[in-house]
Amino acid sequence: MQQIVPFMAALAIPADAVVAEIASCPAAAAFSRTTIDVKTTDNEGSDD
Amino acid sequence: MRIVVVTATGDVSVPPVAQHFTSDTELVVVDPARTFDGQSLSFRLTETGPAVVSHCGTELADVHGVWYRKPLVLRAPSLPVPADYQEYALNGWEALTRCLMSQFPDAVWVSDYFAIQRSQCKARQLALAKSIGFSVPDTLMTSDPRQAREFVQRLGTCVVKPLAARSPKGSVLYTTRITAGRPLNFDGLIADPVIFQACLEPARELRVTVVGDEVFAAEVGGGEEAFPGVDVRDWRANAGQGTFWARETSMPDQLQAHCVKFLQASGLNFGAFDFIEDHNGKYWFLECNPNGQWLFIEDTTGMPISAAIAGMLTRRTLANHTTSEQP
Repeated sequence: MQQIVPFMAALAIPADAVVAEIASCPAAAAFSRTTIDVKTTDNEGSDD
Repeated sequence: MRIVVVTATGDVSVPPVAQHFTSDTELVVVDPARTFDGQSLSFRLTETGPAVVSHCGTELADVHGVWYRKPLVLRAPSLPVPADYQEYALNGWEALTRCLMSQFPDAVWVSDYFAIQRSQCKARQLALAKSIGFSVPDTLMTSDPRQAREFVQRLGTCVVKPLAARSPKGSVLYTTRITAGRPLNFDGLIADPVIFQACLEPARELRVTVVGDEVFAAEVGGGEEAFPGVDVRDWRANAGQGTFWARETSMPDQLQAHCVKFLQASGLNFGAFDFIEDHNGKYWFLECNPNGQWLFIEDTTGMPISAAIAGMLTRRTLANHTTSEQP
């Protein structure tokens, strides 16, 4: 069967591009600390 | 009394809630994935007595509240059994874990597991939101390239977001703005159904956390996301960019009442809603995350969400676990 390129593939962002330095931004640090990291874990749901 | 939390070991959202429990409250964290480490889970029925649940050999009696948080979802290849038995072992583990979700009928559940599963359906959410009186943007969820092309062509500009909760390996997908003129791989929808939605220009973006009938409204935002070639319209991206902010805000009483009504109609005791207020002052319902994240809002705004969750878990009078069984 021929492989299908998913629609969203063209809109995907490399994971390392969204992990910037956040230490100077308390709210961003809180978000990162308290939400599930969908890139590295497999918890129920997502970071919603 | 006991409070049972079903979640992954080390869940950072648990201690802020548990700190509000009184000294006569025992917190029991059940991490279903740890059964493979020997943390046993059992259900026992006798001819005459009530169902008995035990965890690590201890009977879980006097349970006032159950909080279904974020347990790990195991995958067969990760299981410590011979390869031929991995799917089999996973299936048995899932069946045992599922048993837990229909126990403790007299306890308060935040929220009923089956109600959470039902409410994760975006089509159901949007229809319910509309029936309650929320404004809902034009939306298409589809695997049909023809319908998608027509939708984008008609609106000229819209946003697209994945239906999948998990990201592809090594990349992330956010709500992204697309225009009719942009070449897009619509044929790829047959393997990747997504949500197309009218693009709103926000005056404010709101994250509204509702616990029972307590409403915690926050305005959220950040700087412009800069990802070459991808027009991201998603405040979650601001967190990764280090520009995210949130602050306590107000919202109309009627909108608050609609949120509470939405939860009641969904059989939920908790919901994390996302809204956009446009430049005409109109509020648009985007989604309700039935088991959404909230601690980052409390950490940033100081609003006492964890205390509200603790209060709900320890008040037996709010019991409304429906044990509706199937999503």
